[in-house]
Amino acid sequence: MGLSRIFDISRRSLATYQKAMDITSHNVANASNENYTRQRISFSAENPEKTAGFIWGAGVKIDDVARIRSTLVDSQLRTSNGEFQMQDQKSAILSQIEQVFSEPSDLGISNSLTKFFNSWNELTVTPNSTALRYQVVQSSQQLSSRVKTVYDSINTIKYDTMRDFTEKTTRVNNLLKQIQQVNVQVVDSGAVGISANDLMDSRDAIIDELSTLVNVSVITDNKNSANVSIGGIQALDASGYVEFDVQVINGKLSLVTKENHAKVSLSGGQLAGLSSVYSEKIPDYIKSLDDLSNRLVETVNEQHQKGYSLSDPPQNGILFFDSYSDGNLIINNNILNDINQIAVSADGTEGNSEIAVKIANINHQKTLDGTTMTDFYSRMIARLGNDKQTSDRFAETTDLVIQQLTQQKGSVSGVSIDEEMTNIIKYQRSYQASARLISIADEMLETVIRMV
Amino acid sequence: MRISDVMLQSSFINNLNRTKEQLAKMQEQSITGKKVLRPSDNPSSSVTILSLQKQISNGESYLKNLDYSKGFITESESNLNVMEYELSSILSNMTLSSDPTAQGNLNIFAEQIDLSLQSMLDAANASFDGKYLFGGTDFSAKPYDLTSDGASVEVKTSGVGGEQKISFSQNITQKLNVTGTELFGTIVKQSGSLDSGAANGTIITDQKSIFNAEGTEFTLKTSYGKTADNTWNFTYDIEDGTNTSIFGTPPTAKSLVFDSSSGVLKTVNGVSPDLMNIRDSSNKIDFNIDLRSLKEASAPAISMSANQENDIFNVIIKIRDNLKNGILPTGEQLDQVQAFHKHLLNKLSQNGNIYNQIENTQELWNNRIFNLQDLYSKEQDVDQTKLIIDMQSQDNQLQIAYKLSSMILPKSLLDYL
Repeated sequence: MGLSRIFDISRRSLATYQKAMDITSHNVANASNENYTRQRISFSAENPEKTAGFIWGAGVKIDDVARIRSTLVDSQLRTSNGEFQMQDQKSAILSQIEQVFSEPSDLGISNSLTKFFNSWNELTVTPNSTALRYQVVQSSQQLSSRVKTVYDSINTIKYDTMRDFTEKTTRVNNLLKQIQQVNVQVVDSGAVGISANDLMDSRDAIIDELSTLVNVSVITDNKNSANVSIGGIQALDASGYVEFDVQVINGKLSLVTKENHAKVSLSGGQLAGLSSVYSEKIPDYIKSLDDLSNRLVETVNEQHQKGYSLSDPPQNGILFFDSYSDGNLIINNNILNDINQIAVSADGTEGNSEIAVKIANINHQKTLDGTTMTDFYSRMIARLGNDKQTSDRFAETTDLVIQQLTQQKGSVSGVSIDEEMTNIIKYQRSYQASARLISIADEMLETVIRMV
Repeated sequence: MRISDVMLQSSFINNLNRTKEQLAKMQEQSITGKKVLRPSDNPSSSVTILSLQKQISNGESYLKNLDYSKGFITESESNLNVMEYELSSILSNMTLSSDPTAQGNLNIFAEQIDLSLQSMLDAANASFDGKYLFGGTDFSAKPYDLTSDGASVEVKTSGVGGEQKISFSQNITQKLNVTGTELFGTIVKQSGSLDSGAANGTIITDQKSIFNAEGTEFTLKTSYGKTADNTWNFTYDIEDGTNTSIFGTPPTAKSLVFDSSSGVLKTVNGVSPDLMNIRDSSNKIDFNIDLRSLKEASAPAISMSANQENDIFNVIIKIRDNLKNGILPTGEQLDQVQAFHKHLLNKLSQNGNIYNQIENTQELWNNRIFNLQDLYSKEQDVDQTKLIIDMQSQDNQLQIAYKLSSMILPKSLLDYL
């Protein structure tokens, strides 16, 4: 064995530990990068040489620079993240709807409805009183305006939900395109024997973002190419990716493939949350509001038609509400122009208020779905509150799971400065030792040369 | 377990956020003073709060009605008292006028009785908030006035029997006014039973003397003809002293339907039975028929009675005019005035009962609203003391977290190399 061999082993060692320092520096530099996966260097002894019947060690080499990542945690994290995003998105929209209803407060429909019936009750005292008749008109207008505001605001939220769904679908398509591009780079790198750890980190970050929008499942093939499926539809594989579009099918907001309109089964992610609120919750609240308003029109008109107005001669058969549709609770224009058209007298005399008594009592009668109108409305408000609370609690619980999984992920893939600094000291010492070896070998060679 | 730097950071941020979230919630509650600001804060509480708000609002509305009603009743009582006072004065003058020493001054008594009559008329026409107290529900004109010849008092509106009803609660609707009909008018009540087993075509009749505003006697004849099971046709006629009908054409028959099991009168011409006002201006006849006590039963017997047969104004006018002409009041007239006086005291008593009932209901509502507000407060109002202590505790936790994390997070091996 010649002295030059020592130089070879030391040189290789220097190069190896320099590379190791590079990797460690890369880890340290990304210590605060949440999407970064720590890289670990595997060392092994260089293939030994067999000379003169001896096996001569050839030094150290780097076997692999591996990403330390748990695919199981990744998969669980994406599923939980999708669930969280779905519930959080639902909660955010339901919160807007809650604000629209403004319950329980003086500004809600409940208070307007009570005031409306109370104004009839107070009219029973002096049915020919102009002030009390105006009070009936004002409370009706207030109720009408409140119903209209709530109805329109909910529809605006519904429209915004649809727009948000469309924008997020475009984002899904963009993300799939980006994953496809990174896939190609990862496969190309692999083909020339280069480990594409950072590219795979980028791809995982994109897939993580995708999982906040839709429920995804990811399988990585033997060439390290990620195959992504969304809600039962193969969205991306080695051959390319599928583009998605938005469709409303039977009133339900759906994600479909652009090409053949295959429907995605949304069970997680923000799109699932948007679709659920758009397709189920909002129609339910609007239907309740419609049922309430229609019943109000029917019951009040039924009594009001029987009454006689204060006009000369007294008239009957007058509707109090013209109609209700699409949030428009329209009060009879003749009444708005002439409050004497309010018909509360059962016999045509101006002091009779039997019809006002009957209208005021509607509020206590079980006229809608086996309950009173205000209780029917309260039930709807409780349903809205429960929906929001359920979403909040699901989101909160899932968030705790996510935090646990994120901790697990951090434990496996996160960079520890202490650990990396220890490695640096270790590699630095190895590097120094190798350099010292070269110096010693040099001295040995000089000794030999001097002998000549 | 391997601890990475990202783990420490995210764990700290998550815990910090949770504490801050709780603090924010408490701050919101502290500022608004309310526990439930949106339905999702507590859905079941929201329903309770909405229900309590509705009940309190309803209660306040009923209290407004009750307050107003007390004013109306007080005013009615005051005017009934005026009438009672004037009537007592008339009775006194009638008695004094019989004194032999007063025979030369009968005109003075007539004048005093006339003044009392005017006061009674004023009281009868008294109003509260634009509503005639004893004029029923027709407020189009002053209800009572002298006829053009000044010989009698007549009703100037479509009727004085209308009932002013006001709701005091979900289940209580109270008639507030003493109607002119029940105070001054004659109500002929038909009592007893019609034969439920009678064959179709059976006719049952009854009759009673009635008096017009000038005290002239007429005969009211009623007739019931069976047309079907539980159904009778009711007709009536009024004949003068010569047994001649006062109607050119007989009044239209009304269909009476009785309940097949209880026998009570269910409907008259398809609507709930009420007083039937019968008025004939040319003969100064104005009275009411009340069929509400009439039944259908197997033991048939019907009868008619009247709450008061004579028009009090007419009686007083006659007394006044007689005194002017030097004629002393008769014993019959004294009886008639005393009968009305008794009737008036009854009405005063009834009015007082209504007032008491209103006061009781008002008291009940005040208590109920107080209880409802107490429940509302328990459901909605924040316990500020508890909240401040909780906030203080959360704030302490937050400060400890800041302190500890500021000590731990920046530390690494680097500090010792």
